[in-house]
Amino acid sequence: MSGEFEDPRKTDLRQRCADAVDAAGYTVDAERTPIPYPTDSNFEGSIKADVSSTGTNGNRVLYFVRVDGGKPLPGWLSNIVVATFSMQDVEVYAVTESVGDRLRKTCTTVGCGLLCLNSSNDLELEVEYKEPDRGSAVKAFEKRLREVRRQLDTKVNANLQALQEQYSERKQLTEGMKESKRSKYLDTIESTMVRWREWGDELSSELDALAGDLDDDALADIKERIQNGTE
Amino acid sequence: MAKKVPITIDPARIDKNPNNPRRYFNDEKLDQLRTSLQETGVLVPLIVYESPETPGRYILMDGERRWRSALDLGFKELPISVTPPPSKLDNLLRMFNIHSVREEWSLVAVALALRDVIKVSGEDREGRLAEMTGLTRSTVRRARRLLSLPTEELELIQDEAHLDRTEQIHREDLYLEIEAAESVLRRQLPEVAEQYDRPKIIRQFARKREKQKLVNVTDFRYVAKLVKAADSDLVERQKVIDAADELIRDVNATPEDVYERVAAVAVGQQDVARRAELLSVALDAMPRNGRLSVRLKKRLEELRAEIDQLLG
Repeated sequence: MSGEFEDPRKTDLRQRCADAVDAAGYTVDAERTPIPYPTDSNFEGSIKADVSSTGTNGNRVLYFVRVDGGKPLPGWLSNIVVATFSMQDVEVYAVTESVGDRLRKTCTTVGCGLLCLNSSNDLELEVEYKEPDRGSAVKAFEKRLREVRRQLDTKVNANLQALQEQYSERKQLTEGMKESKRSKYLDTIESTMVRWREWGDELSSELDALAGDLDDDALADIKERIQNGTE
Repeated sequence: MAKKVPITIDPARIDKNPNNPRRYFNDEKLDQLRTSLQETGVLVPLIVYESPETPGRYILMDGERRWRSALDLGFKELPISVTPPPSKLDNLLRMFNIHSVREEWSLVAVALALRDVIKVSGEDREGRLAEMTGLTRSTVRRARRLLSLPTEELELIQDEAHLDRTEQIHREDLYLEIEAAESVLRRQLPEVAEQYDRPKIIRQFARKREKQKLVNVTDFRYVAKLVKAADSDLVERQKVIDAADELIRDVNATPEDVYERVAAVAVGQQDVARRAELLSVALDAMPRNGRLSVRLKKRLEELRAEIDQLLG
């Protein structure tokens, strides 16, 4: 869905991607039709690409546009890629205008295809969609990664919820305070919420990057930072 | 307390709240939430009310990030809690209470929502608006200063509000500085205000940023310093009027450069004169036949040499 609330850069990139796919001779699907996950997958929802096309060999190609090519492949897209390996005739590509090292590395490790949309609106292949050799060690690492991500979600949500409740009760909590103190009190709640959100975003992005590194020491470090919180 | 009935519906039957002024989501900021929803589902119901105009469709009160992410992740149904349709003012105030802090509304988003609150409630006292919305008084004040800008400039700020701060040209803090500079000119130099209307001055000042002529948005504070130099009779008033005129007409002229050229020397001399007076008072207070420390004596001799050289 594109709409009023979507980042306009993403809306633009999606359109340019569709134009480039069309110009390359593929039939772009008119609708963003969701595709069910394979039955052995535990994911919620379905696979809904930004752009999809049908190749000459009948393959369904799914394109997911990424505005910031400097960030690693996000966890949700890695999950989609892994799920499609057990589906027949489906390929997944991330599409961006400027490919950063972290995106290339995570795409390579996960097996996600990567295309760069150049200034002439041509799609250049950076990384092939290809199931990597994911041995038991890799699968075990992915499981640990998911567990740490759950810990991060829990930590961020619990703290934000507590602050939100504090904010909801601000009227009672600040009753009788001088305006300067009340302002300081509300500013502190706001800045603390911002800090937790930014901290969560940063660690989430670092976890995404680990899908490319498979680095247990780095994962342990992030786990410790989650335990310590924003302090 | 409204009774909430938890049910699940197709997210396509939900519409955004018309009173939530957030216009764009920064796409990558939803990545963490998307991964979480994909792996665990939407556990907390979205709060909605049924559209009075279109029965069977629902308007979102709380849960916009989850709703948007669920749409992108191809969810077929989402849990919702239905509340009765709020009044227009209740809806506006709830948007403030639910979203302004949690979703980090930009100042321009706050300002636009505040404009609606003022319109619907008829309340425009700063303190009362702060109480109603939960904002601090200083935020209400800054939001109202943004609202005093021409609509076209507000649009420019709004169009970039979703970008990272480093990518924004039309930043809120830029316009707060411009607004302050323009107000000083209008109040203290009516001759300039007669020649140029407010939208014109604001546009010309914003163009300096668009053409990358400013080192820092706070450079506009030199406008107030310039005007103060005229008020303190350090610089001829006409010179300052001409300088202000140049600043408005010439997009390449920067407030700092114009201040340095027109007023910096005079302001600097006034500063030296003030310090000289303080030194004189301190010297007067010293005993006439007392012994001076070697260090003080050396420094005073150096100072005398500098003064002699300056006076010729």
